Formats: sequence, structure tokens, C-alpha cells
Amino acid sequence: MADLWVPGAELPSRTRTMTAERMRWYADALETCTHDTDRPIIAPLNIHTDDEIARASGLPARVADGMVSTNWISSMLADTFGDGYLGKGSLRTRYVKPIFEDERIEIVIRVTDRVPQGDGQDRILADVSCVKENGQVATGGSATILVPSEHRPE
Amino acid sequence: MLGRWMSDLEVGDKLGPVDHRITPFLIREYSHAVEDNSHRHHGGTGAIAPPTILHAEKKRLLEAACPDGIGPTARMHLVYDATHHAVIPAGTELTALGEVTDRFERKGREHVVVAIEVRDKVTGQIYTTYTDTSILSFRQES
Repeated sequence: MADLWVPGAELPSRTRTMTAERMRWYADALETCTHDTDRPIIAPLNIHTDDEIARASGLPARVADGMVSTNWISSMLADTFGDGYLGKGSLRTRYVKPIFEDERIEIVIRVTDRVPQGDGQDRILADVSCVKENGQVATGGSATILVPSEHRPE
Repeated sequence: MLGRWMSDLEVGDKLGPVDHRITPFLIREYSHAVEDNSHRHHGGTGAIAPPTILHAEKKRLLEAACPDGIGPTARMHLVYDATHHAVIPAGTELTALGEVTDRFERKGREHVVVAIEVRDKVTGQIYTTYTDTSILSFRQES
């Protein structure tokens, strides 16, 4: 794993297709987590789950909540770096282009720098993105991860 | 201005605090929905919350402050910017506090920036600081 923690390293990418179901799953989970409940709640229809409502807002069709792609990136960071990301890291994502139903998305994370913090820890910097098949960046941003300096490879 | 629509929010408006317990159920629901099936989020009382679940804290704050909803046009999330200070264990009592820190127009679209802090309600431990930028008056670029 240590070879993924150096500048220039690219994590093995993941690819997913944005489906209407994935959009709806997020909408319902967000609605559920907004309430003090022990039962799932179905979200009211919105621009993420209904084409008509999306069109009334000037969109060509329903679009994924940007947080779906942010979560795909976040899970990859958590799987790779663990608590260094989950408890001591950061993630910034900007939604550059909407993601529509059936679009295939590649999740890309590249380590750009590793900065010693002087306290036995290094701060890893990474560029993150979700890229469409045509090469357009739909979601772009950056992340930081705090790791022990002894994980520095030779 | 607080009390009605999100589109009425002004710089300086304070959101919350809102308090709630982040239960293993809520963590599982959120994690399943984003297909994060790792044991760290599904281990019952030993689980931790995915940091991104704070998106729900933002929604709680906005719904409490603006009970009539988003306003006349769709709201579109533009930037998620979170710094994690500690992992959030399942079962923790959380308190979230927000403030509208900026509101500006760009390309004919009204933007609002909200800064949010999520803490342990009992110990005061800070878990996450978060800055959220949304477009209030979304319309597709021509």
C-alpha cells in the first residue's frame, strides 16, 4: 500500500454507471438521515429523482446529487488511507458538470505531494475527480490525508 | 433573513444549533445508499459515520431555519469542502451550528455559502468543519 502514498501515485480507479436507482438511493438516504428515525423515509420527488421536476428547473433531465460522486471519491480515500483520511483528512469537491442517468463515471485519485509536518506525520495531498467517458470532469477537487512519517518509502 | 425560504438567507444569518444522535441505523442507511459496504460503517455500535454524512447536518440546519423550503427556483449544490478533525462513532450525540458567510452573484446565478461546525454535544469535541456553496437560483447555462 505504501507505494500509493507518494507523489505521482494514482490509486486504482473505479468505474460506475450513474443510474436512476443510485440517484434515488441517495435522495432517500439523505431524507432519512435528516430525521430522528429508525425507519427509511422515501424522499419527495425532486430534480435528482424526477425528470419533469428537473425540466421545470431548466435541466434536460434528472441529475445526480453531487454528493453521490463526492461519496464515491470519499469511500476510495477511506478504503486506501483509513483514519488518516476519515479522522484527520479533508475533501473538497466542486460540481463542474451535472451527471445524468446512464453516464459512466471513472473515479480518479492522484497523489500530488507529501509534506512533512515536523511532528512525525506527513500531509498527503491528492487531486480527485469523477470523469465522464468523453473526458469531461464532472466533479473535481482535492483531498488531504495525515499519515505517519514512517510510512515514507525508501 | 431566517424563518421562511432558503432564497432569503443573508450573510450573518445563524443556523441552528440542531442536535441529534447519529445512530448505527442512520450510518448504515447512508452508507448503503452510496455503496460503501465497508465494515467500518456497518459494525453496529462499533461503527463510525462516513464523514460525508454531514451533508444531512446541512439539510437539518437549513430545514430548521427555512421551513418553507428552497424558494422559487431549484437549489443546486456547487462545492463541498469538509475538514475532518476526528472520526464520529455511532451513537454520538451531535450538535451542528451554521452561519451564512457569503452571498454573491456570478454568471447571473445567486450563490450562498454556509459554514458549518459539527461537535460532540456532550464533550464539545469538534468532528467536522464544513463549508458548503450552493446556487440558489439555478438555471442551466445557455
